[in-house]
Amino acid sequence: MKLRLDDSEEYYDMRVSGWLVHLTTRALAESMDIRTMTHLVRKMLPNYDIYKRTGFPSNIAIPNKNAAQQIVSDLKQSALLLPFINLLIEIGDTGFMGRRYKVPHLREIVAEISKAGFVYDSEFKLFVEDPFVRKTSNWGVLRESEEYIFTLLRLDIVGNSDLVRKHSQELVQSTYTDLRIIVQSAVEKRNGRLWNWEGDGGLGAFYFSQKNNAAALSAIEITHELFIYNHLFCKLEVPVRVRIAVHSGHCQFRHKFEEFNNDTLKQTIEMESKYTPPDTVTFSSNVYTMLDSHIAEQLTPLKTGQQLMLYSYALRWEEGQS
Amino acid sequence: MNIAVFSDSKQIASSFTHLQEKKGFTLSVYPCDTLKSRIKELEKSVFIYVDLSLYEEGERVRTLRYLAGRKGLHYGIVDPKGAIKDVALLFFSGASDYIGKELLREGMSTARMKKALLTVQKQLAETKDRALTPVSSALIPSGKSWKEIKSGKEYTFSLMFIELDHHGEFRKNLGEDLINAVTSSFKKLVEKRMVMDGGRIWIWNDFGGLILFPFDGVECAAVLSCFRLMLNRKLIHAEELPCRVPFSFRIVLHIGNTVYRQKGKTGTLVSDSINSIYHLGKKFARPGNFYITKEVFRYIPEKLKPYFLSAGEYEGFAVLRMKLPL
Repeated sequence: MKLRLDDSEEYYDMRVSGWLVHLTTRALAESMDIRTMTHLVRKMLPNYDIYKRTGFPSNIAIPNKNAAQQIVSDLKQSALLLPFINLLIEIGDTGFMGRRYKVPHLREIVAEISKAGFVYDSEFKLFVEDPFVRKTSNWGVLRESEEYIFTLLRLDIVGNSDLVRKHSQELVQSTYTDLRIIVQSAVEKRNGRLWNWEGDGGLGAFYFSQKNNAAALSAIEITHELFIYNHLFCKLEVPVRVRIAVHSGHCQFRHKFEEFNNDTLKQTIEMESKYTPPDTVTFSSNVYTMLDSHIAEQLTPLKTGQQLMLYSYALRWEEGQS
Repeated sequence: MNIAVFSDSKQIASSFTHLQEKKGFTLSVYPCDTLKSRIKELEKSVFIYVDLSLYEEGERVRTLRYLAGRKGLHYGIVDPKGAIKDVALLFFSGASDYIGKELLREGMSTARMKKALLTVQKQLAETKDRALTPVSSALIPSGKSWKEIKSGKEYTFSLMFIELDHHGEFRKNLGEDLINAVTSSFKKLVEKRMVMDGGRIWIWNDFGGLILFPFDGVECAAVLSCFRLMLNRKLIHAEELPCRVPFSFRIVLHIGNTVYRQKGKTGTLVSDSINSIYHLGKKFARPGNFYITKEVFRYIPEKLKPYFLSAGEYEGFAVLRMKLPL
C-alpha cells in the first residue's frame, strides 16, 4: 500500500529494521496522545485518518499503542519513517504547538538508524547518508525536482583534443582515470558528490554543512594533487592542466544529470570556460564572501573586464633557484 | 676545559669542586636565577651544568626548552631528584651530559667527568671538521615496509622531525585546554598522514616528535609525505584545527642509522643520527619550513629537486630547504 502520491521513492531509501519500527512505535506511544500524533502524521500524510487506518469505530477511543503501531507502519510503507523521526527529534528538542514533549528512546533510534548508514545532521535537522557507508547523488535525502542551494565545482581539462591527438587512447584514458580519482577523492572526502564525469572534465556538488568552504578546499587540493601528479606520475609528454570554477546558487535537483538545466550550472560553466586561466581555480563572489578567512586570504581578485567579480587561486612558489 | 655550574645547592656545587684541583679544569658556580643573564656572557667553549632540583615542573620544562634553543651551547643536566623521565630525549634535544641521582649519590669520579668533557671537546672538534660522509657507505636499508624490521637491530631509516612553531607563545597566550586541543589535533593529523604513507610516530612530546619511515636504499618516499604536508599546510589550518590559533610547523628529513626499538622503549637509545636530526630541527630549522639533508636530496625524485634551495651547513650537514608555496 502506498499512501503517498509523489515521486520521491529514492528519498530515504533505507532498509527499516523491525527494531527501529518497535522503538519508534514506543517513542510515539509514550510521548503524546492520539490527537497530537494525528496532527504530526498529517504533516507528512495530509488527510490521514487514524480511525480509518486502524478500523476502530470513531466513537471508541483507540489505545495509544495501537494508534502508534498503525502510524509507524503506514509511514514505513510510504518511505516516510525517517522524515517522521526527524520531526520527533525536533519535537523532543523544541516542542510542538507551544508544548514541550519528552520523547523517549531517541538515542536508541538514532543508533539504530546509523546502523543502516544514515547519520543525524543537527545543523539541517535531518538524517543524511553516512559517507563512510554509502554515497548517492542526493545524499539519500534530496528530492527530485525540488530546489536547493548547491555549491558547484566545475573542472575542465585544458587542451583535451590535443592530448587525445598526440597520445595513445589507452594512455589518455588511464591519465584521465587518475585525474578522476584525484577529483573524486577531494570532493567526496568533504561530503561532496561527483555528479558528472565526462571525457574532459566533470562536475562536483556540495550541499551540506560548510559547502562553500568544502568546495573551495576541494578545488585547491585538486590543483595541489595535480601538481604532484604531473611531477611524479604523469606519463603524458606534457602536464595535465585544468580549469576549475566554483559557484553557488539555486538548482533543482535531478537524479539524471542530463536533466539539469539551470542558471547556476550555466554560470559555473561560463566562469570556467570564459574567465578561468589554465591551472587556476576561480570563485564567484557569492562563494568568496562565505569562505573562511584562512581560505579567502589565499585568493586574489581576477580581472574579468566585465562587472563580474571573480576571485582566483593558483599555486605559486617563492622565487629562488636551487 | 671551563665548567660553569648553575645550582643553588651547596651539596651539588661541592660534587664538582674536586675538579678545581685538576689540571685543565676551571670551575665557576652560579646561582640558578642568573642562568639566562650569565649564559649570554659566557663563551661558547664553556661547558655548563644546570641543576634542576629546585625548579617546579613548568619552570623545568621552560628551562630545558631554553637550553635546547641556544645555538652552540654545550650543556649537561644535573637531576638529583630523578625528575627527568626520558633521558634520551634530553640528548636528542641537544644536551651532552646527564648527572642523575644515582651518580650524585655514588659521587662523580674525576675520570668520569674527564671522559664526559673530552667527549664534548671531541664533538666540538668533529663539528668543525666533519666532512659530509655519504650515508650510502654504511647503509643498512630497512626495506620498503615494516615487515622485516625487528626490534633491537640497526637499520637505515628516513627520519622525520616535525614540531609546531612558536609553542613558547602558546603557553603565554592560550589556556591549557586550547593547547591540548591544538597539540592533539596536530598529532592526529601528522599521524593520519604519515601512517598512510608508511611512517610511524616513534618519539613524541607535546608539540612534535620523530617519525620513522622504512628506507629501501633506492628512494626516499618520505619526502613526498613532507612535501604534501607543506603544500597543503594552509588547507590543513582551515580545515583540521579546532580553533583560530597561529599554525606553523617545521620539518627536517634525514636519512640515518639507528637501532630500532618499539615506541615507548626508546628511553636509553643513543643514536648519532637521531641527535643530529633533533639538533637540526631544534636549533637550525626556521619556523614554517621544510629542510632535507644532502643525504635525502640524493634519493628524491629528479622533478622535485628544483623545489629545494641550498640552506647552508649545520654541524657538518649540508642542508636544503623546500621553496615555500605562497
